[in-house]
Amino acid sequence: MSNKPVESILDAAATSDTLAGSVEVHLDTYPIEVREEELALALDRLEARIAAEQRPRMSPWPFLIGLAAVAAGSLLVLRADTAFVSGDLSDASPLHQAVVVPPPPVVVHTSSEGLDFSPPGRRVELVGPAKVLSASDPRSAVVLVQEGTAQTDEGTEVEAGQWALLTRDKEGTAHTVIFPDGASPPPLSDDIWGATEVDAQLRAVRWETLPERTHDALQHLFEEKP
Amino acid sequence: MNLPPPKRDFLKRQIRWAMGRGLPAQAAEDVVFEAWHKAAETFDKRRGSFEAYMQRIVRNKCTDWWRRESSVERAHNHLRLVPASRESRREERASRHQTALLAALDPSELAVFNAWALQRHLGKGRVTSRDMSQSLGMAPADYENAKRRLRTRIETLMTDFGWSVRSLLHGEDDVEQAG
Repeated sequence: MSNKPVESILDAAATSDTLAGSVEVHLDTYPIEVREEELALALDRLEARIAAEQRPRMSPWPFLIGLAAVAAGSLLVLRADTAFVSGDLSDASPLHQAVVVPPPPVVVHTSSEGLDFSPPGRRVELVGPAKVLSASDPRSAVVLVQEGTAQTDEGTEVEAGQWALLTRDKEGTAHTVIFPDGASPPPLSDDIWGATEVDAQLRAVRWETLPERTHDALQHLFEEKP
Repeated sequence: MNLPPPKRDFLKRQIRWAMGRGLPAQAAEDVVFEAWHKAAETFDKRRGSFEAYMQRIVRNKCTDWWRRESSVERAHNHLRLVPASRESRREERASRHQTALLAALDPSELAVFNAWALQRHLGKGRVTSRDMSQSLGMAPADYENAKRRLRTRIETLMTDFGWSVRSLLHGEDDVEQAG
């Protein structure tokens, strides 16, 4: 409490029901001016959270089965390459060409320094000790905060257990989507995001979150296939 | 939760309303999200429209938000080993004094008092003197002058009533008013 009497009384408006009631009535008549840019960002985040909550939860099994299928496909293509020593991938079916495209690079980030994604020209700072996983391509980036808190370049906080999707549109406007881990991402407009690329990045980062023994088990599974 | 998502305009109004109560954007977003969650789980069509129901929850959550913010601080500052009944009498006395003080201010003084109290509480870089002067429709310089006049006015009233700050805020060392 302040030593000045008037300041002490003013400060008590937060702790006295009588004075607080007066301030609340005041707010009905004199609302505080809202910063439109902050409101717009909060609205985008809120819509993304509601959309994520409304979509059915993602079960890990379809994902793991999908991974197994992709990995098995890769092995088949490798074997086909071996069989056709001088062949090239132009002979492979589009599906096979797709499965041999290397996944986006995934960076496990635990230092106190930020992450630069350039392009698409976005940056994420770590707020104190934090552990994040990220992947990016020239159009977008995805970040999963596993520990601590990160903050995007436009001030959005991303807490442990949340994904951040980052991009910048043709006009240079930054777009950020936050959604909780364990939920599906909200629908992403293709013209801004390139949903296929974002999906590939999400899967790549998710793969990195799997325990080592799961990786080993999957590898054995693939190797035992005839 | 099979309800369709609320319309963007509706969500925007809710966030705007919450931010207009002094909630930071992140807190306003959280309040509206929690309200949507609660409304989606407990909505009953017999209660009217979903949006009206959710709006009531938003308003309930926003009311007292800034008071709840300081509830921990209040608990630390005001915990005393005194009998409950004695404490209750003091609180009643303090409340009477505060009501009398507010009633002695004219409407424009009261508006400045409330704006200044909010500024001090929500301040910390979030709400500036300029924000508060704008909310009152005053020029920043006029608002600063009004605060100076209010300081003198409150000090005069305290002298006239014969109250100390402790008696006003905590009902202690009370000097009962004659008449």
